[in-house]
Amino acid sequence: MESAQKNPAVEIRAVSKQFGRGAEQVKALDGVTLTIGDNEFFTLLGPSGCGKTTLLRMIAGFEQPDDGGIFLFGEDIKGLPPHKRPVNTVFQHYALFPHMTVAENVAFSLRMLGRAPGEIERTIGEMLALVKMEQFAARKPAQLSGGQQQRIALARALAPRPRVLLLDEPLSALDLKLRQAMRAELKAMRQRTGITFVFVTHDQEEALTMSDRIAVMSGGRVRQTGAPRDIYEKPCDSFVANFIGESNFLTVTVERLEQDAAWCRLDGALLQCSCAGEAAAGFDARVSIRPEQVSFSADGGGGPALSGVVENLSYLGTDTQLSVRLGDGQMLQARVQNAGRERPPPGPGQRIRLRVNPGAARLLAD
Amino acid sequence: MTRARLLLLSPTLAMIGFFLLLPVALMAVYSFLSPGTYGGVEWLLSFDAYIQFFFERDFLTDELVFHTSYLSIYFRSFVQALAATVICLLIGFPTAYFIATRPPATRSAWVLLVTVPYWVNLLIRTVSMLFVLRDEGPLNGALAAAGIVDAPLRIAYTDFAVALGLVYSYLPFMVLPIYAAIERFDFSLMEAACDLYAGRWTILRRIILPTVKPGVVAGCLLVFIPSLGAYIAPDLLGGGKNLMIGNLVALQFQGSRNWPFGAAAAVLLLSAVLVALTVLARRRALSAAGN
Repeated sequence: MESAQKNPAVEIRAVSKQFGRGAEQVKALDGVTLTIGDNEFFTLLGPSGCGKTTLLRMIAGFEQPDDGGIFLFGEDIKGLPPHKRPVNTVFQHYALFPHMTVAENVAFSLRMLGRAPGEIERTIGEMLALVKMEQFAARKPAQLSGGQQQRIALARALAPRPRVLLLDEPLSALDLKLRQAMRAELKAMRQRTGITFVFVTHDQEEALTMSDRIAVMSGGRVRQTGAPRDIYEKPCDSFVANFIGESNFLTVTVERLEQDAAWCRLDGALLQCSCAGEAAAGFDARVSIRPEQVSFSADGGGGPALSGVVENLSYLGTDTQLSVRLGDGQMLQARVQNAGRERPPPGPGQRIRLRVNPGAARLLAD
Repeated sequence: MTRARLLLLSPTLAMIGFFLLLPVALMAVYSFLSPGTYGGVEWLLSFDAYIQFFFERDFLTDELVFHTSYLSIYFRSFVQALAATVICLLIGFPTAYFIATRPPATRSAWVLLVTVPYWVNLLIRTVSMLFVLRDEGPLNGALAAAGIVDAPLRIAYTDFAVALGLVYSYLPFMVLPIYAAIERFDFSLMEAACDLYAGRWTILRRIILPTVKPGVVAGCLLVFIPSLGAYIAPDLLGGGKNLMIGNLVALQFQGSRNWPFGAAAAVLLLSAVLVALTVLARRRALSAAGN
């Protein structure tokens, strides 16, 4: 991302944070460095307890880092209280003010900033139109459904036109259908407003569909940062490969190294792998192979291929997943689409030949 | 209502009937009777008690002249109760806030501490307070020793002492309902307000207070109403000089032996409180309907 380097909206530099004291001490963040570009939809993705929410709360000003710096458009904001930072938050459970109407909720920040009454009225109208909630202006939050409250929370946080909008798992309280609809809306809203979004979630699908870039976190560290496609197709370590999507983890022997490929031997067959880090020829290593990158044929068909016996077969609607035991005893999951296939998939006990798409196997750094 | 429900409610209904409604009704009836010579009442209808409250008979012309001696007692009681309520609120709110923001495990211990004074009888607590406040008491002793005052500060037997006594007696009634309200308060609202550019005071005024208002109103009522009719604190700490309503009523039943007048004074207090509460409830119902 070129623009991310030139004009970063948020810069996190070597930030660390510990909670608790003595034996109960927990490292919430451990030397996190991140650059979030202007106009980006940036997602912090990770399991609960990975530090993503702590990091978000630090950008908002609710937590202070023990070490390191936080910069907003080049300005050091460490030590500034939340109400002095030009960022706003959409809270996980919305935190709408229950005693105020929808319009009063949206107007709150504008009143605090001392905006003119005319401007406040106009902004309320614009924001409610943006989230398609104009007819609910006089309602109280308790009279709204979860999805409607979510929209108001969004309108309220966007009303003062923050330079960065922070979203703390805002879709987690919604049901599946609504969550899917809101993903597209959030993405569209980011483009319409031109505001940088920093989105926290533990839901990989949410992260993959909405984000421009994702930072995968675990144990207070950033494991990998990149575009959704890179994160999915080129995971750097087994945590990332495992957390996002499904993957096969297999032990291989590195035979030969090229510029950015490695040739590895798996059960007699030679695989072309992409490298996540340093690799050394002659040693054993781990590779990650996505199940959908494995194709099979009952008879074989040209080229070097793996061979194995089908042990199990699961029908998944759009796909069928095969569990195959290779000659060296390792298990490999292969996933094939059901649409357009003429012959029925092989049954358990049948020996089949398998092929891994060139470069699809990822040699992991750990 | 089913038979079972009626059966379950009957002890409560009997309690309210025999020990609340019946005595109050009896008092209302007594206030319209004539006083007996040695206390008690003569069963003769009379409005004298109420006339005596508002008017005095000019002993030369025998005309009824409006007077404010008794009304001023009511007014003083009102001011004392109001002062006690305000002081209780100023002390009680931060206390309740403090307790409600402790870790959940330690909260009940703090609540227990608030109720500790209640383990001792009110009369004993008030008398010991008098010992602390009196001219030769430890408070004046400490002030004199510190060189702050030359002569003992006159605190006992003043309106100030009465206010202190009322606050001491009823403070927990302010703390507990406010604590209950703040404990239910969603503190993420505070973060949201802070995030939306509100400072500390604005958060207190615009977010916390409106949300915990029912608890504050309950606390104020629980302090104000008993303070208005308080007897022990004004009698002991006020030295019985500046009468409050409770003392006036007690005096009629004991020294003056004018039961109808005592009853009338109590009925007037009850009516005033009822009218005020009805207005308050009506206003709250209206504002709730407006939402």
